[in-house]
Amino acid sequence: MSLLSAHHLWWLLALLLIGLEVALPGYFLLWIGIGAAATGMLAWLVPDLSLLGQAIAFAVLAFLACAVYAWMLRPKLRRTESTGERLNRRGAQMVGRRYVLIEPIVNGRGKARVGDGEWLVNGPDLPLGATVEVVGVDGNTLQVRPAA
Amino acid sequence: MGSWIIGVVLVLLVIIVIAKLVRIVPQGYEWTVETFGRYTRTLSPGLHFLVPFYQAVGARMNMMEQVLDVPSQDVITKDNAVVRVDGVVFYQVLDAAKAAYEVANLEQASLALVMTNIRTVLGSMDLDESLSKRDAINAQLLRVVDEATHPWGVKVNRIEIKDIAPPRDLIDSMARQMKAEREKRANILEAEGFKQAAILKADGEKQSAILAAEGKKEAAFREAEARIRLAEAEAEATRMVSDAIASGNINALNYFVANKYVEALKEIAHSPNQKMLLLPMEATGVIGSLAGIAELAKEAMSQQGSAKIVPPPR
Repeated sequence: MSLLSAHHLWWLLALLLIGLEVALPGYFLLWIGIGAAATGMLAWLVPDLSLLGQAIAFAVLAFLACAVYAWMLRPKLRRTESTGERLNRRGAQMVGRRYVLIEPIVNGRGKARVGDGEWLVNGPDLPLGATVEVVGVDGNTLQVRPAA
Repeated sequence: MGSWIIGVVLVLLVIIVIAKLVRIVPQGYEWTVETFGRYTRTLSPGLHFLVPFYQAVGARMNMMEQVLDVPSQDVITKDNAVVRVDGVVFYQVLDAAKAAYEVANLEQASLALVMTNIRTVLGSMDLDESLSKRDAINAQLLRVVDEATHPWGVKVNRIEIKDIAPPRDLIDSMARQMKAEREKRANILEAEGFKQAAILKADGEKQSAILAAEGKKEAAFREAEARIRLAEAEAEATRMVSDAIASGNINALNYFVANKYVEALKEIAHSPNQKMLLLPMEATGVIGSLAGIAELAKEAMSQQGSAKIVPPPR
């Protein structure tokens, strides 16, 4: 440990991991890298920490980095997602649209013509041929209300 | 040395655990989360953190619309024809949790449903209907299958029958039937043509006969008229002659008659027919006429040619 002290090793590992994070689509090496860098700092501040102690510190710090990001930073960084939220969600794309009933809503359940297919709808009882507006979606059932 | 090994293993363990903790759901998929084996929530596409050892990823559901090939199967139609039918199903999972846990094998279940329903729908149609009413078949299948798959959080968007193939011999007889149909039509058309032609021909003949008869009738009328005219002219001439005779001498007429008579005799005598035998009908007639001439001459002598035939009055 004359040429390379422990904290240098940790920092080298940190740089390596952060570099790998850019190259590999994994998104988990970053926090391990941050954990490694923090451990390096700790080893530099407390030079007589044993190797096992350093490893434990690394584990704790890496998890801490993860936790801080996941449960504290991420909710704040998150913006209201727009189009991405509606991709692969056919129902969500239909909210606000108007359709015609091809089966009357009886006991809250009926069918509406959507494109060239049919969707089950939930809503207040309405006669056949009434126009409904989609207000929400629950799996493969549309929540509707009578169109004003 | 032992602490070295433990340290390295610990570092590796940390890397593995963190790799398990950070979950990235790709777009087009949704993953279910199970807490000690019980479903708790669904992960949408993007970055997620799961608590290791406590939470785990359950099913990884494809939320994109998928195409399911319906393998071809033999189906018996209402009129007992065996046809091979295949198709495609387009479906999309809309509720990942339901699709993951309500049904054990979504694809197999959907496929079985479609295949049995193809049998049901085609079994209620006869062959001609099944070949011509694809739309109706598709619509009916879609209605039934969509309703049945609803509890599984699946939306069946489209079912299309790809191919309905009757057996070879049936196709042949269908082709024969069509050919016969066309030939029948051709024959009928031909016969109609002949009929029309015959009618037209007969009509033409009738017209021409009528026209010819009309021509004849007209000609006869004209002929009759001509005869009337001739008779009238003859009567007139006779009248003139008789007037002339009445106002002149009978002997002049006698002269003419005698002249004609003799001339006629001469003609007969000159006839090239050698078998011709001249027999004066009555010598007295000839002699009488000669006597008439003699008398005429005598009269002429006596009157010194003063006798003139008075021309008939005009």
